[in-house]
Order: sequence, then structure tokens, then C-alpha cells
Amino acid sequence: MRVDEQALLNQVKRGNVQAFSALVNMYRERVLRLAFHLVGSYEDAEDVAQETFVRAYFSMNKYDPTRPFAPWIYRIATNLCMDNLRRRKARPQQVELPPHMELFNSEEEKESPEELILRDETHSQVLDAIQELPENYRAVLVLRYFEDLPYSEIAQILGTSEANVQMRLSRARQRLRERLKNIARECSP
Amino acid sequence: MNCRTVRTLLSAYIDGELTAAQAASVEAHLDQCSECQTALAELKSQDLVLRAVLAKPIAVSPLLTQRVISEVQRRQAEKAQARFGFFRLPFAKPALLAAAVLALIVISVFAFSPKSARVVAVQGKPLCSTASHTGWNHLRSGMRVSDGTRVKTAIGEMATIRWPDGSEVVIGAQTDATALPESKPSGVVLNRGLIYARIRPQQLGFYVRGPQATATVLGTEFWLEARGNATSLFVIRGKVRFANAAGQVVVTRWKKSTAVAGRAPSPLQPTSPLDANSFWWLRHSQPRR
Repeated sequence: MRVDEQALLNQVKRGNVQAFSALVNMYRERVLRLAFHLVGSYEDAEDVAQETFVRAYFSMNKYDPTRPFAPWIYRIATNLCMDNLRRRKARPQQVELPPHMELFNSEEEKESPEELILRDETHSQVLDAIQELPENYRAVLVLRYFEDLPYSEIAQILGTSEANVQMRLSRARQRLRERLKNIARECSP
Repeated sequence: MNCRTVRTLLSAYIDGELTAAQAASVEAHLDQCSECQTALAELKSQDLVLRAVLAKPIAVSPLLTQRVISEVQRRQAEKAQARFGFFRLPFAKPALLAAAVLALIVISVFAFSPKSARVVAVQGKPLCSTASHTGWNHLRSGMRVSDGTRVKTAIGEMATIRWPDGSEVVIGAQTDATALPESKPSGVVLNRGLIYARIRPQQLGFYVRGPQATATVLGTEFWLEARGNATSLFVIRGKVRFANAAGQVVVTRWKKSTAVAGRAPSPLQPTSPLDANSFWWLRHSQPRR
């Protein structure tokens, strides 16, 4: 944990709202992205992100400052996402693209493999494929890729064992294999 | 190690999560098995695709932080109100009890009345004047906002007003605006600066009138900016009608339109919180150090 983050967390623990505001600024993109990929809706993700930070503020007394902050807040966000998904089960929705995609224009420069797959249509296919995974597989996959989290942290966030993370991730990748085969082939270096 | 075992370990292998002994066994098998080599290559290609999608930064509404802080302050106010509960009061002191009950009634009627728009968050020291008191005072969290309340903010200052139905209007930095929460439809007159509004569906017809055009809500979240000789509308979700005497457009999510005097609002252009105007907002909305 960075020194400035530690200092902020100490101030937040004392109830300093200004410090909390800075902390939110540090984590808001990551929390929103995590929520977006877990719930598949930008609007729901915004609500989840807001509630994540509000709950974090009021639960600061439960946060152990000797441990990293990121897994703690990701755990709150992930739990809220799972609640959101349970509530939404009765009303399935189509996955929407996050706003950066609508502005993405890769025609001006030579496309790298990563840029190639970020074309709207392809991107949408990948998002759809991820959303079709069972929730427990999707959670592991998203946590692994969104910030390259090690299995130990993913296990901590999801309250499970590293062996279980390894198994779920392997199965999630196997399930995606057929869906993403063609896209992956196009993007291979 | 057979193919079946290796396939279950390939995922952890590309993540570098196997023990040295396991990785060595997998590699020994891969040296001899072309099918498992193909499976590994496919997994690596898929890894590239997933990484590019899931690690790509996403656009964040620039006011997410403000909304979080507003919500924290609202819940703190609720908790504070709950602490004045009748049964916790010291019954041994009747005078204090009477005063506390009276205070509670006053607070309920004036401070927490669901029928009034209220200031729910303030950053810096914005100024306000009301229709009845035209002099300038400091705007404070909890203040009631009536028709004609004018708010002025400087660099780094912001104020959030919550309508009785939960709709929120954030008055950005370097802004001069007049709120009309009691009118039907309710709205805000933006003389200069930036207004962000997240409007509940029941506030249909809510408007923000800028110098060059008026934005009218069709159920949505948006911000309106009046700078120089132009008024620009950025819609985050839902739909907003953007009109002046020369014409109108309906602006949909993640689109913007700009109006200058004497000309109809421009056709829709794509936008996001990541474009330059939003950076302007962010820069001016950071707390003073």
C-alpha cells in the first residue's frame, strides 16, 4: 500500500470526508469497472459503485489498516454485485457497452491486436460471452483480468480457497473457449 | 502427467500460479504433446482477448465522487436524527425533555420535511441569496431551497441540492444559478457555469435554462454548461430536449449538443466523461488543498 493511501485511510478512519473523497477518486474507476463487468449494465454498475463507497465509509471501523485496502473494497463491491444479480435474475438485460467504446475510433492508427478486438461488435461479443458464464465463474474471471489479481487475493475477495479459484478459472476459460475461438484467432500475434 | 491433468492445469500455468514442480511437469508433457501445445496456444490467444476487454479503463461519471459524498452526508444526517429518539431522552429532566421534543418537531418540520428541496452537500463556501433575503450568505448543508434561491460558486466549490423526490442538482464550480424547486415544472436557471442534474422520472419537465437554450428532462441524467457565448448539454442517460427560439434537438445518452445565440442547437455529437469538457469540470471541482 502506498504511503499516501495509508495516510488517507487513517484520516478516513477519523471521519475526514475530504480524505474519503480523495480515496473515492483513487478507486472509483476500478470499482466501477469491476461492477460493470460483473453486472453487465453500466447504470447498475454506477449504483453499485456508489453503494460500495458509502458502505466502505460506514464500515471503516471494520477495516484492518495493516491489510491492503484494495481487496477489502473489491470484496464489498463484489458482494453488492452478487446481490444486484440476484435481484435482477427475473429481468435479464442485454449487456450494454461502456461509454468509452462508443467513442473508440481505431481507424486513424494502425490497429494492434488489442485494439482490433476493441471494435464495438467484437467487444460486445466478448462481453456477452462473459455475461453468459455462471456468476461464480464470471466473478473469478473478472477479478483475474481486471487488475491481474493473484489467486490468493481473488480467494480472499470471494471468501474461498485458492484451489477453488484455480478450478473455477480453468472451467470459465474452457467454457469461453468455443465462444471466443474465432475472435482469439483473429487477434493472435 | 496425462493430457487430461495437464489441460486442467494450463489455466494456472499461464497465470504463473503453479508450483515449480507442477510447472516443470506441465512443461515436460508439453514438450511431447502437440495437442496440448495447441490447447496452450488457444488459451494464450483467449487470454489476450480477455485482458484487452476486462483491463481496459472505463469512463466514470465525473460526479460519482460527489454523489458518494452526498449520500454519506445524507445517511449521517439520518443517523443524527435517529439519535434524538424519544426513548433515549433523559426522563428525569422534564424541561430538557420538553425542549428536546420541541426541537425534534422543529427539525422534522423544517429540516427534514420531505416537501422541501434541501442543500445536501457543500464543497467550499458557496454564496446564496433568497427571494426574501437578497444579501449574500454562505450556503450550508441542510438549508431549505425555495423558489428564487440563487447560488454562486467559486473555483473548487460545489453544492448539491436534492429535490423532495430524490432528484439531484449539482451546481458546479464558478457557477451562478437560480433554483426554482417549487415551480411546476421545477427547474434551474443557469446564468453561468455548469449544472449536473440526475432527475427522477416523476420530475418530467424539469428544466435547466441556459443563456442560449433550455434543457428539458424527458427522464434522465445530464449536465448543462454555459461558458462564453455557448450553452452545451451533455446527456449521461435518458433523453433531454434542448431547445431555443431557433429550434430544438432531443439529446440522448452519451451525446452532446451546443447552442449559440440566434442559432438552433447543434446536431448531436458523441461525448463521454473523458472528453475535454469533462476534464474542465474535474479540474475545477477538485477540493482546494
